Amino acid sequence: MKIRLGAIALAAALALGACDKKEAEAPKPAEAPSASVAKGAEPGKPAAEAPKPEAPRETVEVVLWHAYRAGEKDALEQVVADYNAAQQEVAVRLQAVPYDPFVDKVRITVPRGQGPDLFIFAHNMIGSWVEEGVLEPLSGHVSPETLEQFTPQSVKALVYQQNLYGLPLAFKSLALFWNKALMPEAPATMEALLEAVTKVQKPDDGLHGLVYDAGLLYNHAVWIHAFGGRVFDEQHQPAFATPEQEKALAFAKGLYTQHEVLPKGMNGFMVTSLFNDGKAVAVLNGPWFRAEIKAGLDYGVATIPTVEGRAPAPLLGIEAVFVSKTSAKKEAAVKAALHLAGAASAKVRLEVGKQPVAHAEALAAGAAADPVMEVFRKQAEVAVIMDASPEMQLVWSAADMAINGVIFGDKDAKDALARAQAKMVEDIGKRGR
Amino acid sequence: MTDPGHSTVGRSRWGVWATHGFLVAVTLATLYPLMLVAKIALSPGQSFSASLNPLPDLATATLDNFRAVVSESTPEGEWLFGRQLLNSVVISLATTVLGIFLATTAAYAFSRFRFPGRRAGLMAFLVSQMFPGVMMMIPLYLLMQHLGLLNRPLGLIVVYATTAIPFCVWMLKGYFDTIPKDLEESAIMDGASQFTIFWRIILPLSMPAVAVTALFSFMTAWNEFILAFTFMDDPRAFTLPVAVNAYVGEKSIEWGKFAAASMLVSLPVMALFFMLQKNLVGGLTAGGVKG
Amino acid sequence: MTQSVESRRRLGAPQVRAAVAAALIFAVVGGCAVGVVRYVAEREHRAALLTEIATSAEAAAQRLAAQGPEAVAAALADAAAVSVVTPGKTDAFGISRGAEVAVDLTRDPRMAPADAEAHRRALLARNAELASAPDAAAQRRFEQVEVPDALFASAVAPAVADGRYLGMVRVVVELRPGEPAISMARFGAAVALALLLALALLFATGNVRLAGAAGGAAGTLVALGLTAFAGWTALAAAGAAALATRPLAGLLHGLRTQPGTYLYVAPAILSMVVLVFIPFAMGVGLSFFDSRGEPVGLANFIEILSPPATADTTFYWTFGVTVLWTVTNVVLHVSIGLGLALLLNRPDLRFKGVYRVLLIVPWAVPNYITALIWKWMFNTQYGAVNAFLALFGLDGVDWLGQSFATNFAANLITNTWLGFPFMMVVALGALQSIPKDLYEAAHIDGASRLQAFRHVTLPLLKPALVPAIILGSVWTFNMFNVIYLVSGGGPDNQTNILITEAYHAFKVLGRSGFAAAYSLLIFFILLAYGWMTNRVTKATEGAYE
Repeated sequence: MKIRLGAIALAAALALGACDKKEAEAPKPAEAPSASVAKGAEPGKPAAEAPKPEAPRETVEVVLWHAYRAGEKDALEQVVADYNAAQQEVAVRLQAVPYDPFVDKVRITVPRGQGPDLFIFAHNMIGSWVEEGVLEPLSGHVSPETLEQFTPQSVKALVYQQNLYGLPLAFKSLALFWNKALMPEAPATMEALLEAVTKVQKPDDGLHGLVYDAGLLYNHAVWIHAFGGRVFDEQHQPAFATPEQEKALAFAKGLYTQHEVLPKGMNGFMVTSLFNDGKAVAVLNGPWFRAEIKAGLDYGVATIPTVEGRAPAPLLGIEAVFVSKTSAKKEAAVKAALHLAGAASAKVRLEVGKQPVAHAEALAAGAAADPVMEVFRKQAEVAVIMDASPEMQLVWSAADMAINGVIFGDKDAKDALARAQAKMVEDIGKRGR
Repeated sequence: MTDPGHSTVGRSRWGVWATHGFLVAVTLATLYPLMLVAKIALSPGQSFSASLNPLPDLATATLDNFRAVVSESTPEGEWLFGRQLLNSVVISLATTVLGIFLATTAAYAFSRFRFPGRRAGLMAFLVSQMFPGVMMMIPLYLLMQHLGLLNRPLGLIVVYATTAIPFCVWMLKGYFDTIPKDLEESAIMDGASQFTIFWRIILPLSMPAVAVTALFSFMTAWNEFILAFTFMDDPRAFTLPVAVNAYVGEKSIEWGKFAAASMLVSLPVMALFFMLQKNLVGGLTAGGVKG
Repeated sequence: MTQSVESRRRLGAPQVRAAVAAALIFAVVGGCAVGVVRYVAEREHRAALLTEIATSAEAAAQRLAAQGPEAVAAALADAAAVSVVTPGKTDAFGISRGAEVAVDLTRDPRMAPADAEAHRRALLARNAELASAPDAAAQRRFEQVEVPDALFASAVAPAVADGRYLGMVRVVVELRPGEPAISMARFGAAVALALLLALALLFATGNVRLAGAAGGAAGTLVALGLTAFAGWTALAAAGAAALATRPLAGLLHGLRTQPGTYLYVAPAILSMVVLVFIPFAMGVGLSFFDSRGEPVGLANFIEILSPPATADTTFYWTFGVTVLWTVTNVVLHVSIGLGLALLLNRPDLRFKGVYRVLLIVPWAVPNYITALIWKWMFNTQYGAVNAFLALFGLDGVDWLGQSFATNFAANLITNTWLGFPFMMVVALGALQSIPKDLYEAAHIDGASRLQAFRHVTLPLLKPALVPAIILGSVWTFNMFNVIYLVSGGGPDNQTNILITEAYHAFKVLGRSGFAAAYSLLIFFILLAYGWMTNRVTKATEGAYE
């Protein structure tokens, strides 16, 4: 029986006395959480009354941080310039900050009332940021209808503990890029692909068939999902000590030892370099890779070929615009965020920035015009949303260690996975202690 | 025991050639990774080059990356690189001046006076270098916020100068110790004040050590990037190292600009060193050392 | 520091100074202890208040459910701060929706951020509780959404009017400030007692240490009462007073007799205290708490020092690696730096300036990019290092593969390349302090070049080189970004150093207290090292005195 308790509410007005000096002076203006709350419901104001039409206000300036580079940066700048010119309510001030220390920067500044009003980042930090008081929940600010304009996955990725924490801009996942000069067509199955690339490759001369940084969980997840494995199980426990994970590792190790399609010690920029130098027949890489490929190199993009008849699923990352929890201008920030994620912005970001955008209509239009975009759209449909919980942060390094040791070292897969699993469970158990 | 052909002053022609040969080899080995950086900076485009050849391809070499870095500006059209360069120069020079001022005075007292707390003070400088930065970051941020020094160059200057002090004090004190005291004693006879001695005698004699500490203070501020990014919110307030790091994206690096910016950042340091190294060549004008 | 007690049994200035010093030390130690006591008491007080809020809210909610929507509207009308408990229905995306929009307006603007955070955590904890409840109550969730007034009027209020919210109540619970566990008056009295007792004992025995220790201990016990915690603190206060009373009294003496001298050091010391020692003290405090702010005593330290048998790398392994890392680096930096400096200091060498400038470039270029280049150069198949080895017919090495030794060597080579220019510059500066006539004298005395180096150059380089070496080793001990960028700690975190673990605990595991404990251990290790080298420094000083 479902008890119709309905919505039961409680309210607490907390009168804070001057208990000690430190307390009394603690909430500085910038730190005061939305100062308007107290006035929120003036006594006697009919609940259902629409907000009074307000006199035209001064332009509210909101600061937006992003770590985009190159084309994506140009696109965003254009979107913001258009937005600022088109209306007078909100002026977005765009600030480019470095990517690498971004996570720590917002984690230090925002909870202390500093930092931006809005920022753009991948969705995978949501869990930690929510705990640290960085993110403003948007569930109450955004109607369900608004969210229907985005691809369902991109919205789902931004939901944490039943709250929405951002508006999706773009999605990113791996796909297969290949050098058409070395291999005219990409086969649809891994078996055929391996056969094709082993014919062309010359491992001893540095020409390899399938190049990617195999020691990273982010990349290896493709095979984990292909063999039916996953990162977390239903109870949200790490799921590494499983037969599926072993199979995935055995397959990836085969790429290195048996097929010799995989070189050692790769990382992102080395992969780019080898591909551009014609030393890689095919690579696993994401949409960002398009901008890095040397002009004039004839390449193709396809969804990752099937393994034993199953579609490999890369991890799906969603780039979103977030509102700072301590922003004093949340209303304006939400307005700007809605525009940034909206159709007009998506069109520019897709066309200028070559972003696979989360806006469904804009994406469909872009995919119709650009076959590569269509590939990423299709790849995203089978991709698995990256877990955004704080626990995920404790999985990466232990998983990378096991994957690396098994593929490139002589570690036993079962043993390495069991150790990794134990380490993850231990770290998760100790989190926050 | 003594080989007359190998005095400190004169040496054989072969010895000179061997020395140069060795130095050239060491210099080339040292510069190889940097030549790769230079090559990337001079190549068109933003990709990394896997080639082992450190020499840029002259046919395609271009200064585009340098141009792009230098002309970096805000969306509003403000010249960002210029602002950041100015920030870096102001902050680093101010750090150097403040650092040298704090360090020379302290080192002089530690070298010349005996006073209660002297050894403890010296140890405190050393000990301060032992605090791992991880633990200091958030407390330091809170402190800066409390003092109202966030988003202000002054905050960075004070922090950098303080970071540089311990090394500078120890270095200078060691050098001051080697300066004979009889010089000062005669000055005292002539009626010079303690400060006059410090300013007119000790400092001029210590130029090699002051040069080293100046370089060190300058470098501390010039290359620092984590604090500069943590304390400053607006890109217009960033220093150049923060700007350099901004070319490293989530998945990809804009190698061309990254390399060009890295080289641009290191040029002033090299220029400064080139100027200061004359002081390193110079030598003591004073006589022997009291044993 | 010759603070002899010649005026024994007479209450003179030295005794007063010593007693003041003892009281000062006690005030610091005891003050920290009082702070901890007050913090713990305050936490308990807050927790009790939050429970009170939750229970009265729950009761009020039940009442309201019985009363119907009119009561809801009334409650809403003057709601200054509201939280909502709603059934956990979600939309297609998994977001709480419609009637289920969860609202919490309890963040009164007057509420301190710490209280708001505590409240948020309490709500989350309550959620977890509800989620694990077997009955339908599990459908309800407390959530927190701050709603600006416009949105409140446009979204929440209509939702209530539509009947999508069935109930809202207002519960007023006053957040009373807790009674301070220890009043300032009592603390002041304790300090005064420490002062008086120290004075009396000094008068009676003339023993500075004893007087300070007894005064400190007694003061602590008065301030904190007769608890085990007070006992331990009293012990700490007594120890600190016994060790530091005499030097501090000496300092007080010095400040009076030669204030001019202190003017020279005051600016530097002051900036160090504010910007280094205060943040450090704040960090040290963290190591006795977990990251939720619960005091855990020494648990963090025990966990580090007694690692589980299954751990891949233990504190002790990592400590060993750190020492190896430091020693090898410093030896290489100094020998290469000094060697080059000696070569470049020859008066007859041409192009000295060019060599000097070119050789410091590794120091000048931001190491982020050069470390990446080195990582590339160590690539097994494509890298320059193996290509170089191949020139000599040597087999390529899998530098960043699964071997500890090669990974460590790769890190070491990179850091040596980065580090020697600094030592070279220091040595070049120091060489200038050696007068040329000393070499001439040595030459005339028939000393070989090696002898001249050993007996003239080295001793005279010491004053500058020793601090550089000590500081260099301290920096290298905590220098992890090269390791992070080149080997990434591989294989299996074996090349990580202690500071990496602290950093990892802080950034990845989110365990600030544990990370602080790690950092404090690192600090103590370095302190022991500094204490050992103290003798060496004394020796160098002796050469000129």
